[in-house]
Amino acid sequence: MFWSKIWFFLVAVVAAVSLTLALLMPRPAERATVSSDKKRLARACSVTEILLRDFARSRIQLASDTARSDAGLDTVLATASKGEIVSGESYAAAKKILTELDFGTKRKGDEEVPYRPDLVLALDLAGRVVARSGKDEGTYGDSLAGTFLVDDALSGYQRDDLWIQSGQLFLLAGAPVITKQLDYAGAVIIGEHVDAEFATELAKRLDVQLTFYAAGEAVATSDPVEIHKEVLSHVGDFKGKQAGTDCGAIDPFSVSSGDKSYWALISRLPGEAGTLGAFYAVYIPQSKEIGFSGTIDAVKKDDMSFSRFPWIKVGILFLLMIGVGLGLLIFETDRPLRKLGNDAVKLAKGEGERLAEESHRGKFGSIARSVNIAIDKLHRETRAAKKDLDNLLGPMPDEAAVAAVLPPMGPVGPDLSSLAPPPPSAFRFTDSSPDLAAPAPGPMAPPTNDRTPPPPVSLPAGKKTAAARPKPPVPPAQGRRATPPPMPAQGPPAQAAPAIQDDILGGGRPVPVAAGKSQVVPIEQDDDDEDTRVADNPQPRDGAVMGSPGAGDDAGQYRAIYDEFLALKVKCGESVENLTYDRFLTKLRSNRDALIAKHGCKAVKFQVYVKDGKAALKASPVR
Amino acid sequence: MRNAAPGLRLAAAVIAALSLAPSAVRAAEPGGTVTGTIAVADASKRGEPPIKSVGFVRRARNALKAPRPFDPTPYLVVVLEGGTPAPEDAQPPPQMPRYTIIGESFDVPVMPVVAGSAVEIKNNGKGSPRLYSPDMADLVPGDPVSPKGERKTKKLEKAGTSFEIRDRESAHLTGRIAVFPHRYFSRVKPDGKFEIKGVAPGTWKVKVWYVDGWVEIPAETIEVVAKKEAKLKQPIALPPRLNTKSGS
Repeated sequence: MFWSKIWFFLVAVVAAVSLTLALLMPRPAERATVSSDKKRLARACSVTEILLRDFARSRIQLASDTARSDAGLDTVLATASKGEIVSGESYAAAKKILTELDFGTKRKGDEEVPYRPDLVLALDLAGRVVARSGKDEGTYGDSLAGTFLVDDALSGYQRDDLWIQSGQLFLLAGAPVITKQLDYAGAVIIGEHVDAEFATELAKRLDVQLTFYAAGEAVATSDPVEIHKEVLSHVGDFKGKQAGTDCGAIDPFSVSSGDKSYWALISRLPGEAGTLGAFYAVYIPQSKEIGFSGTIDAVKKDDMSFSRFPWIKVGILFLLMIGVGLGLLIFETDRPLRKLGNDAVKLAKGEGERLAEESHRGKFGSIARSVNIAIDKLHRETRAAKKDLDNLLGPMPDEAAVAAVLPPMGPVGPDLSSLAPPPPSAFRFTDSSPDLAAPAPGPMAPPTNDRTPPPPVSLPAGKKTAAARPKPPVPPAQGRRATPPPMPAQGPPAQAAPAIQDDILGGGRPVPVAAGKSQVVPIEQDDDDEDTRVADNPQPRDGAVMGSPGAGDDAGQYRAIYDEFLALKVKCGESVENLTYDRFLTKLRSNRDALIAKHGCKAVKFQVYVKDGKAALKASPVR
Repeated sequence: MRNAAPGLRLAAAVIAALSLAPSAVRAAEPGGTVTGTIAVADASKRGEPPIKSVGFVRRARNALKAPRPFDPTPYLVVVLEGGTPAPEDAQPPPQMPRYTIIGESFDVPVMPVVAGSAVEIKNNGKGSPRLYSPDMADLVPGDPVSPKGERKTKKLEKAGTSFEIRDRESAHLTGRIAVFPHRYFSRVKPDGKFEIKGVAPGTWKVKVWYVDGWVEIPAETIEVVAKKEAKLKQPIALPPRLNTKSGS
């Protein structure tokens, strides 16, 4: 059982570890996914900034090229700068130039298409708009001096900037217009509207979603998902962060729209728009937390194929575990149990006196030892009972006779009749008996059960064999025949049989016996036992038959037996000092009553005989 | 009502003409005039205009011509101090000074006013700026000023201070109102010349205000005589870097 338990423990540990791993495995994968998503988002954020910077450089270059074009814009602007107001002629001339300018091409899908900026401005030296192309083409004369981009361009710098105009975000670049005489004549501003198309085009390159925010609202987005309120609530994340480092300094955060969740990362835009809080957000859908069941659901058929999964190893391991478990069960449980069962059957059949405890291991050995201890105890108790009986009544002819004398002492004691049908009871009085030394109770004292009866006595199978047990002595014939008193229709209910070991004349428990039989049987009846003697007409040669209590006609017989017993004791040279008739009578009656109660017999026959040179008395139930 | 209308119109015109007349003109009769020139540092020493904002790419010089140097002149105010102004010259002018938004900027970057004055801000641009002052929270109403609209500031009592006016809707729209104890001040023309009329006779120190404080240069002293022009003997030379200290 030890190894079986160890194996069971190991299997349980393996199962627990496997289950734990199965439940835990999705978590690291999910964390890795989240970490990967966040890194991807930070990368997309940075790339967005890089792309916007590249766009800015291209736009600056385009503004510079436009300012230096040979279309005559410098002349027009120089002329316009001299006037108090921008004249219509200047506007028309500048407008014509701007319209006819070639701004190159741009890639749209797989092909190059002519490119035209959303906004082109021609400014004079005062910063007044001489002409526009694209947005508000018909408007001119207004001043844009004061804006950082225009002031820098008029001062001779080329740069980019971001404006928020009428709730729209513009990416702009400016360059000074210089005449052929190297005088500043004005500036050219080129702008691109940040709209959904721009955001979508940019997001497509990054494989993320992209939204631009300005003036506290989304101004352009590649995905119409409504996450803007949550994104705008994270504007506080910029606090304390250095501008231009947002993609690395700010942690991605989770936003949701409907049942979808996204990882989002925000970064401030530069320029004037950035000063006013413009920023952009990149976001990607969050991978669902699939968990264990989700992992199982995500398993594909291909994952279960022999090429992907070590089915053979798993199968071998499974069979190995089953085989080892079964083997251990057979080795440690089934075989020893079967062996113990076989031994028990042999013991029951009488083919052995004890269980072979040495051949059984572990608990089975303990069981065998316990059984053997019980058998040994019975042996000891049997020998002790015999000794007590011998002390009281003289030695029995052999041990088998004990069974004939000793009725079951307990009310629920096993029926020993199947084991060893005893010969007729034989007892004798001895001078050394402590019981005889005690004060004798009154004549015909009723049986008492105030003492705890000893445990039931059973004999080993070997003790009941006919060969081991001598025939009971045949009582001598007598001239008179005792008439047994009439028996009740049914034996009395369970009463305490006399405990012979304690006091043969004390109380005992009668054993109910079926009434209606009139035959002499041994004390222990066993129909299967060949020692059972049945006599339809018992005529003891040397003895007296004592009827049931109350018959009133046994006094003479008791006296005769007493006299015979006394004489035999004297004859055998035994002391008779303590042997009085009253005590003899009391004990004899007590023994008679006990035997009658036990066997349900009508009477008990007492016979006096000599055993081992001492006087002995034998009792046999008569039915 | 129709007969009375021409008379009323005439009276109103006279009152308006008197109220709208510049205080300097009104006080010019008894006072003298101070003129002079501000000489800014050499262009090569002034350096480049300050960088006020940066886009994705830092600004770069054009390849054809050097950028124009920074010109501090629009931010300069010449102020006389040390003399005793006429009482009326220390009072706010009857006509509220007007600070005008033109396009995407104020008409002047620094507007001097007499202490106790309130300033009317007029929007002549196309936008609707929401003005505020980072120096005084309730200096100007914060609601949008629609085109052609106007807002009045609170009275600016403390001389020697300045208040920046900004727009919440744009980063570049910014102006400054500088407060002086009397009307003896003048903005500097693009050529560096300045003129202060109606100065009370006496000895005055000529000081230069730049944006938000006094330029740290030795003050020129000039004697003003009634009805005469007092001209600085030599231009006031400004250093290349205009360090200032707060006004008092």
